[in-house]
Amino acid sequence: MRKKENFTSIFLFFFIFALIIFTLSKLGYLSFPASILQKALSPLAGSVFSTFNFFSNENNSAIGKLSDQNRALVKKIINEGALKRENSALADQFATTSIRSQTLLTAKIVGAPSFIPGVSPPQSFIIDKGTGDNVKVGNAVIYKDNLVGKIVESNLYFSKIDLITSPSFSSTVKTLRTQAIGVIKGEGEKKMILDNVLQSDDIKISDIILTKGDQDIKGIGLPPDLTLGKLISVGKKPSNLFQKGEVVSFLDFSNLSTVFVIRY
Amino acid sequence: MWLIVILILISTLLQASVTTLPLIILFFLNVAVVAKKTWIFPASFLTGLALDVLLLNPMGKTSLFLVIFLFIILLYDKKFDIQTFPFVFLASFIGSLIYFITMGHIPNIFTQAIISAVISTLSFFLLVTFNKIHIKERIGFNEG
Repeated sequence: MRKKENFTSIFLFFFIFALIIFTLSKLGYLSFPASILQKALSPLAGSVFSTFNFFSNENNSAIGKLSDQNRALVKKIINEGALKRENSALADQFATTSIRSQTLLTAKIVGAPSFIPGVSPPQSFIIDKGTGDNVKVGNAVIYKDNLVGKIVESNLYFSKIDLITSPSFSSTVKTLRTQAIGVIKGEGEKKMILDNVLQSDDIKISDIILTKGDQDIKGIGLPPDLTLGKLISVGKKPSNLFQKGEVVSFLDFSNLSTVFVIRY
Repeated sequence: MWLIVILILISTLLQASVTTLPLIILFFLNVAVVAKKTWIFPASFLTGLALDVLLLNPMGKTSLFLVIFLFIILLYDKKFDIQTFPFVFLASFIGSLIYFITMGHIPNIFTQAIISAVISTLSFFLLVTFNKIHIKERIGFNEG
């Protein structure tokens, strides 16, 4: 009986203590000590992630090379498309896809919390750059002109990226070939869903999907013409208001170790 | 005791960097079932804080979950025998499922909860096997 009392009192003590810490953290009073702790603990987590990433890359080196070549080809196609549009629109200089190197910040991935190798793909990344490096919530994260995701949380030293395949991600997009506009949403797996495409718009399998751009006046948001992936299926039913499709990214998120944050 | 600390460290780092499986919950569930000691509350509290810091969660979120989860597990011990495989399987399955729902935006939660339950049951099996060589006494579980 006595043992039960001790047991309950210890539970109550730590329950209340945890509740206080949780409340303070939610109110933002613990962001500084949390940042310091993250700075201290992240090298360990980063080393573990790098080790797993290294073994993963070793197993997929041939596939990795092909993926790199594929990305390079897609980039060429996109650049060609952008050039054509530029010529036809003359002074439309903002249609280019390349991002100025001054606005890019290299960030190392130190964690992929929602990731089980071989079971489920990553849905978010933790990177080693935070508000101290001028990273802000809403900034786009890219890898070779391919959109990786968006910053959703940031503190002094670290930031969390929600990947484009994460269910929390959605954005307005367009197709490279016909400029058809739609909305893309992460599906939780490797795929994304393209929705809200008008029935009159022309979309077909293998169409490349680009961001339409939703930056605000401070430059926060997704810049236009970043590659999201390609259409692998199209669902067009006359009874539906919109066309739907499935999109896969050109990136293998499980093999990424470095990404670039676009900041202004 | 060092064995416990090393295992906590490894589980925390793995959960923070390469997997979404709730290794820490599975670990503390096994320790609670085998040891039934009150020191698991401060240990789980501190581990939860470290995990929250590494995962950029609000601090105290995982600690709260762990403390409540372990309290419920130990409450069951008053009524039932918790050192059984079905209990460990069910407790880890339900615990993992609630953890995934609490954390949000984790895919395939049902599959992952089943994987967690299998891992937990296997590790419990190993603990039971090890106990034949008195691992409880060696890591100081049977004090008091």
